[in-house]
Amino acid sequence: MGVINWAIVVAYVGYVIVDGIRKSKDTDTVSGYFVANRSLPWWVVGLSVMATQLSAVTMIGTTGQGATDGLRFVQTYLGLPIAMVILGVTLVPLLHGSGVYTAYEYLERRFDAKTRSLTAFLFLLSRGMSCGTIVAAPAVVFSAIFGLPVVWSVALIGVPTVIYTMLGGVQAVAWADVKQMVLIIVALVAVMVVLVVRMPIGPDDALRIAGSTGRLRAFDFSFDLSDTYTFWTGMIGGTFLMLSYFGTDQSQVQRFLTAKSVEQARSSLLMSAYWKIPLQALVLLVGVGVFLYYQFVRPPLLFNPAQEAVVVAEKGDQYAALEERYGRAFSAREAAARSAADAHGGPTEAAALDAFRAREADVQTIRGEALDLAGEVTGQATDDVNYIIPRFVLGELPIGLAGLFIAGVIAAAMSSIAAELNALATASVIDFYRRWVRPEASDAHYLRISKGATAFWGIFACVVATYAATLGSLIEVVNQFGSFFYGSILGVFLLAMMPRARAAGAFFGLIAGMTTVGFVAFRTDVAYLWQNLIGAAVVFAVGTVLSVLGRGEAGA
Amino acid sequence: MTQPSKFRTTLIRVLIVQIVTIALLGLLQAIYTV
Repeated sequence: MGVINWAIVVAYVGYVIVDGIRKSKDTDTVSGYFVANRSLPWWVVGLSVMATQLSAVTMIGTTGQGATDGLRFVQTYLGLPIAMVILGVTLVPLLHGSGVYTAYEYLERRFDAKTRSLTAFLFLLSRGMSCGTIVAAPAVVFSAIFGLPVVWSVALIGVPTVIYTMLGGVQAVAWADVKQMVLIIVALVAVMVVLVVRMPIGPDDALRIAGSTGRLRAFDFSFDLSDTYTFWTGMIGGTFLMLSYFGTDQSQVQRFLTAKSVEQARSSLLMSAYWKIPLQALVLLVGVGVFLYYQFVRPPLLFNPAQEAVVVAEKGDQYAALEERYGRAFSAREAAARSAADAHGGPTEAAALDAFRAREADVQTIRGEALDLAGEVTGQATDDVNYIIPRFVLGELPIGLAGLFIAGVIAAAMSSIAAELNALATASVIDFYRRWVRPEASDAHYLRISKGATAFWGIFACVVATYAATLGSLIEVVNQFGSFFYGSILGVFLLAMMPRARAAGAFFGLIAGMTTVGFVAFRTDVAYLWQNLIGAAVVFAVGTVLSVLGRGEAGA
Repeated sequence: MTQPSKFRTTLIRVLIVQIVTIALLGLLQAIYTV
């Protein structure tokens, strides 16, 4: 990658550790360590919320998705602004105002210990494992791109994050998030500027070419429950996903619990309400820009260099033949793209765009054959889409900018991992250790245990990430299981806001909701975004009925 | 924001930003998608 690029990455990682620790004040108490003594201003919390949500997958996977699939993924976030407003008047005042450390702690105050323990346990189970995948996703890509052993790239991302999260607690996490968010945005904007400057055709012509392949189709207004990317799935199902994620997932709840006041906590969530969709559109547009750039500069046939090396070694002749066909198809597509850019208006333009689409289909057919060959040789499903942006960045960006973007990917990974580690440690200590093991101990004791818990979850995440390839199916099962209870936990919190709801209703409602979502996931093809709504609705309905029946019995 | 009028103002602001964003992306789609 070059000395200057590496120097930027190393300087950034060093700065994050040093500054993260320097910024951590009052972390000698449990309250300071877990909720920053509720002292942070809204803009720090707001940037921390955004940085937590934006992971390395967004930087490399979502941009790659923009290149291959266009803007339609943006629909997933349509429910986010509405969800933030609803949370601002419901769960934010409830949780911030009650002075809890975790969202689950509130459930014991409102219902009982078993509802708290079950929800906290489900959080630890799914987030513990998913934290490993958040480390693994960029680590696997870095490993293939830089030829490093996976364990080294896991260490590059994981070790600095564990150090500043463990030593500095939530303050270090939040202040690091601020810088990381700035770095991420600067990196994305810089790539966008380079793409615009280097594009050999004008913006209007470029957009016409992208539009002709459907990549600017941001919205699909059809109503199809099995399609994740439609306007209605995003707007309705997405609202429930975002309500669950921002309102009941400790990794996000803990962000707004650090705000100075309920009012500041609300303002921090509104930052995402205003900026998340434009930011997501920028991420996808970077991908579309890379797709356009590669109309005029020949891209690799396979973007994953590690996979490409294996294919060349084992099926060299077949791959060379594909490369030759790919070269010819690329030249024909480039000529068609230039003709389409030159054609303006009427039947000439339509014919030129038709010709371009046909050449693009030829290129994609050969790419498909290469991906099938890679799958056959390596025995693994290809994840080539995750390598499009890293290869572009390292191959095409000027010196310095490539390092900046890689630092941005590491920043995105670190900010999400740090929030998860912080939240996992909080739930472990507050909801289990302090609740069940040592209810009476000194603050210093809990602080020591909290730092130990952060280190434990950090090491656990790094180990899971290192063996992610081996643990692949297990991680998938756990993640799928996690999606069963996401909406269901939201249902429990909805019940908590109903004065008539009772503990038994909440607990058995939660189990009924998870079972229903499990059934829907395995037996139907309903898109996952709707599962959150179904889970929340079943918990609320069953919980309400059981609470009413319970009151009747209690009264009898 | 717990007061109804403040909540309404925030909701309207967020909805305006949402509508403008959707309109811009929709315009991009309408103009360039063949």
